Amino acid sequence: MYGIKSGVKIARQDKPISLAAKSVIVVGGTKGIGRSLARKAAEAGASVTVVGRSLSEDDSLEPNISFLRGDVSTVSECRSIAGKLPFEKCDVLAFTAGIVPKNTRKVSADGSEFGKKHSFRGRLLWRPVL
Amino acid sequence: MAACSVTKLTPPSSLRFIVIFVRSSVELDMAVSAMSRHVMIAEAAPRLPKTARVFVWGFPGSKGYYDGTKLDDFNSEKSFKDGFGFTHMNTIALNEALVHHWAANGMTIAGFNPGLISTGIRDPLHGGGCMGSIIEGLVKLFNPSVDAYAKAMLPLFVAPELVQTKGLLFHQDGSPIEGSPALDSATVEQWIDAADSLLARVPIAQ
Repeated sequence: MYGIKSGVKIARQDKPISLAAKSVIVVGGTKGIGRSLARKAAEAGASVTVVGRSLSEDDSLEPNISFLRGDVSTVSECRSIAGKLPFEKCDVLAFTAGIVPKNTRKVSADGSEFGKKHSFRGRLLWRPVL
Repeated sequence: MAACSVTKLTPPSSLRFIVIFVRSSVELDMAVSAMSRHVMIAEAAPRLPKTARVFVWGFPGSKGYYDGTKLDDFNSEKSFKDGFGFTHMNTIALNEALVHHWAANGMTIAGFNPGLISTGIRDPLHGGGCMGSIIEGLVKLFNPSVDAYAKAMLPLFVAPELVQTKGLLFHQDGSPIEGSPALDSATVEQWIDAADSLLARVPIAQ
């Protein structure tokens, strides 16, 4: 079974930790758990890059937080964001973006991009027609 | 420069062929909550330093959630369920599978199950407002605040145990939890394959 491994115990850290000189990337760091993680990491001295759709005014004033605007709801945008992020210098990469679906099925905008750019990878099915 | 040759194939005269392009769009929850991680971890993996840690937030290890998944309807194309139905459970399964898959490939990666923390994520379900305030008030009563939770998770950013043991999953209080028993190594790869198969069917702007 995955997850918990026998004998693994995580030592509790009661005193504040330092993340000085650490580079942290939080994808989905403008709201909720991601936002709090980004702020706490910045307070602990880390240099934090937040990816999200919009940064609050409070967060934009944080000296250790930089912002990369991006919408992770499309595959193409995810690849574009990944191309811009400084992974080579990254110590912690955290993924927190998430939603819960409402009562109707919605889809990402990847499909609509096809119509505009005609660039598509698809599955080809060859069917004989007699 | 190598020349590129094209061979023209002529089908038998008795047969005519039509080409059917089967394309899909990614269901929005799957796109945001899981496929974004699948795509970005794959992009990051060759560029990350060996010492880097990757953390995935979801609800891994939640008891019984796997029973609510539908691997054969990975992208909710045959049916759809709102809220915490199978559509969302599928995203949880892919997230947990990502942790196990990349840990098996040597990445220092861990999954986090925050449990119930009061954020805006449930607003689309209860609509916020008066009912939302009551529900989120109850959640706050029995769970840590989002800031307290984040502060408690911060030590795991540097805990040495995560390097020694990859693929750990963590409860709200930072203690390791068991993964879903159903997600053995073969099943993990089935979820990863389902994600790759969906990517191959999605019309993606390059």
